[in-house]
Amino acid sequence: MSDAFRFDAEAGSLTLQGELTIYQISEATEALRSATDSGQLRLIDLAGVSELDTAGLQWLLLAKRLPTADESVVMLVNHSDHVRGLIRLAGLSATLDIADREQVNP
Amino acid sequence: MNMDQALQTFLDESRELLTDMERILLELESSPDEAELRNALFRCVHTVKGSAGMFGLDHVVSFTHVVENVLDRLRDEEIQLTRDLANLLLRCRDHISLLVEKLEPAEAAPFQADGDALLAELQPFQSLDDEAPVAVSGGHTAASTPAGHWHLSMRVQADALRHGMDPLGFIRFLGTLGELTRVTTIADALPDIRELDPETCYLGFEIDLYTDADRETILDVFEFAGDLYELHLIPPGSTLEDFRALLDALPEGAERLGEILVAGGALSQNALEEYLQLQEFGLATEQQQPLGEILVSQGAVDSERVSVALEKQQDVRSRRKKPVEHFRIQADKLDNLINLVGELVIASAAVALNAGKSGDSATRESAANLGLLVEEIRDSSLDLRMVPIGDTFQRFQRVVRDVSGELEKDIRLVITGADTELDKTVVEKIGDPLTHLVRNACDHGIESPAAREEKGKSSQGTVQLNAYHESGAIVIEVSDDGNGLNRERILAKALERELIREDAVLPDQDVFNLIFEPGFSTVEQVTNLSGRGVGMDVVRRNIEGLRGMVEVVSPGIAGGTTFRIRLPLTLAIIDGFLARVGDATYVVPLEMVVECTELDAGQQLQSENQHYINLRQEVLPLIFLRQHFRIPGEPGRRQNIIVVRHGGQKVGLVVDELLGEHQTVIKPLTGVFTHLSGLSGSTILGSGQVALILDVPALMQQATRNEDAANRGGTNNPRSRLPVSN
Repeated sequence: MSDAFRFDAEAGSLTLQGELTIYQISEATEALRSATDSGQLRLIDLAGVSELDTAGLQWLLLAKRLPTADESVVMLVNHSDHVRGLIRLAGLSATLDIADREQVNP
Repeated sequence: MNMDQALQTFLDESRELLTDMERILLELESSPDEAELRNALFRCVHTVKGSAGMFGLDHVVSFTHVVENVLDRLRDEEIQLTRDLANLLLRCRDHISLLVEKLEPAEAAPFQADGDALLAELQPFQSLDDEAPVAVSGGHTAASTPAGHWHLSMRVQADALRHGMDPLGFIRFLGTLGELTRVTTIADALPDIRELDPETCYLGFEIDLYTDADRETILDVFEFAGDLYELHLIPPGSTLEDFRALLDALPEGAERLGEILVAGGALSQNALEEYLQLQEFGLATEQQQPLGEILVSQGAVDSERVSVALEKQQDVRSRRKKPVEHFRIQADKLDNLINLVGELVIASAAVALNAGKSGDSATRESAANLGLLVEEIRDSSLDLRMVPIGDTFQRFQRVVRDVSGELEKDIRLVITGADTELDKTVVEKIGDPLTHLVRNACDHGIESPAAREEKGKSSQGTVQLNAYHESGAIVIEVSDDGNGLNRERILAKALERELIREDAVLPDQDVFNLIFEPGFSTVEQVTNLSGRGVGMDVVRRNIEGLRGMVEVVSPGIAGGTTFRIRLPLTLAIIDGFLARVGDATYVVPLEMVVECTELDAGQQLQSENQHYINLRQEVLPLIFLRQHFRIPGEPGRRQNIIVVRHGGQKVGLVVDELLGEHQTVIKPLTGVFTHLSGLSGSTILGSGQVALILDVPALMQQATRNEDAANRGGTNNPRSRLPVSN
């Protein structure tokens, strides 16, 4: 697995780098599966995501539904500006952990 | 995959649309009252803009938008298509084409100034109340409806992502039509991570859009997406009935969707409740109402809009039929196939040879059957690469128009034989020489309007492009109804350039062909168009590079000059005729072979002193291949003549033995052999031997030249007429 999807089991965080589009999505899904299987996944760090498309968006929605060890939900953190913009466009701010109020949708 | 493919489709379609745009503009100029043409013109640009927006090519969108505005006004007959405007729009078309090809905004940046200049020129044609010309947003030129809340329900097919039709891209582009008041992503269908195929799209979107764009404009955004999107569009001020149709049609269930609609402000809470009650009631009484009926009831509400939408749908559908009939494939795949077929032909020849040797009649029969099939496969695969020449011809409408503008002449281009087919690779390579000939015809052929009227001709000159098939070759003619060639001037020029001797007596045809000699140009004044050092000799060289030939006839078909180009139909595989000279085997293209005859002893003796024979009261010049190619050894007792014809001339090739027909895959002579004249390529025989393919036109020329040289030298020794003397 490349460096684009690095899972730190101790911190329980999956860190993404580069694009999260249909081109990477198979690899990303594999990474997500193995992270889930470890039972440690709690955070997904989106700071390094430079590009997001619908496949990527779907991946984020999927990640939010995954069970975690402590029976809570996976948190998406450090959304890059690009990711933030697209999540707002899709009206998924609340679902995908964007806490701000200046959404497109009132 | 996906995005690249989609982008490729975008490029292909844009190219097609821009070609259409050029054609329509030119047509519209001659028949300005055709409303359908004006519409079509608008649609071309509109679709390019829409698709470009889908891919986020903002630099294309911003420029195209202004052009579209002007075309919109043209469509509404607010402005007229003057010649100046047509010129300007043609230049804009070229610019759009350039922007589209560049794709990357950074790459297009150097052309920004050109674009801005064009936009400035377009400014007077813009309507006064229009927004700033370079606004990226907008895009709702057909806006005749008042602004309002539209509701868009978008369901995406599973394959959409794989085809590069990213829904977010569409939503972003919708945003340029107005304001996205609310977008809701429906992820109900998203499966568990174990079952998920990450490249499949499971999402749907409910979109509320505040815009003054009309239905057509909104639907146009999705035109490019084809069948990958299922759309339900609910206009502002729709009735409950409309929503009912939507709620019934979608899989998520009425309650869930109803909430979304209420949240987006498209539907009031009361109305939703009313609907839900109605639905319960409806289910109990009429069971499930077919979707079609619902749509009809919806149609009753707004029949005009529905009919517009239907018309549009039909329009789109009829256009979409095309890909079923025409299947797009990559050119290199086809080339690869042709190459393989070539190898197959060679292999099958080897099989035939070995079968013949084995003496087993069953094997021989199988091999013969195989041979027939291979021949058919060869023909039909070559046929795949055949394209009508019409598209190439059509390009010259523009050339003639531009050139006649520059020269201040009035010239019309007439195209005939556009359906004539030839190999794609030939088509690609014939463009440049043809352009030169057409420009030449406009520049030198057609006189100025004043001069024409003086001669009692119509002031409008005509240039004609014609194509037809003739014995395994395609003939392309470029004719004009102008001056024709001036024999005296050509002769004077040729003398000046020392191309001929003063005492030379030449028939007209030979004089005219002098214009193909290097360094020949009859026009003193070098115009901007032709005579830029690229002379007719280059045209001839290019055409001969395609194993073709060019001749000039004057007076030609239309009265002026006619250039006649003869080209082989394909460059890859030919039917050849095999002949042996000494140990070497040669191939003559079969389509050139007229007959074969024996060179009998009497004739042979006679021809010691003359390189021709009397064939049924006709003089037949001979080329002795053994001498010509310096093949060692003495000729056999019996020699044969292959009579070949090219461009109206007959020549006899003298060989040792005739070996019969053979399918020949042409392998080009490369490297050190490139400059060999008299040979056009090589091929591999079934036995593994290499045979050389004779370039008959070049051989004929060489022979004629040698003959001339010999005559001029005043020698009677026939051997000195050939390059070889033993």
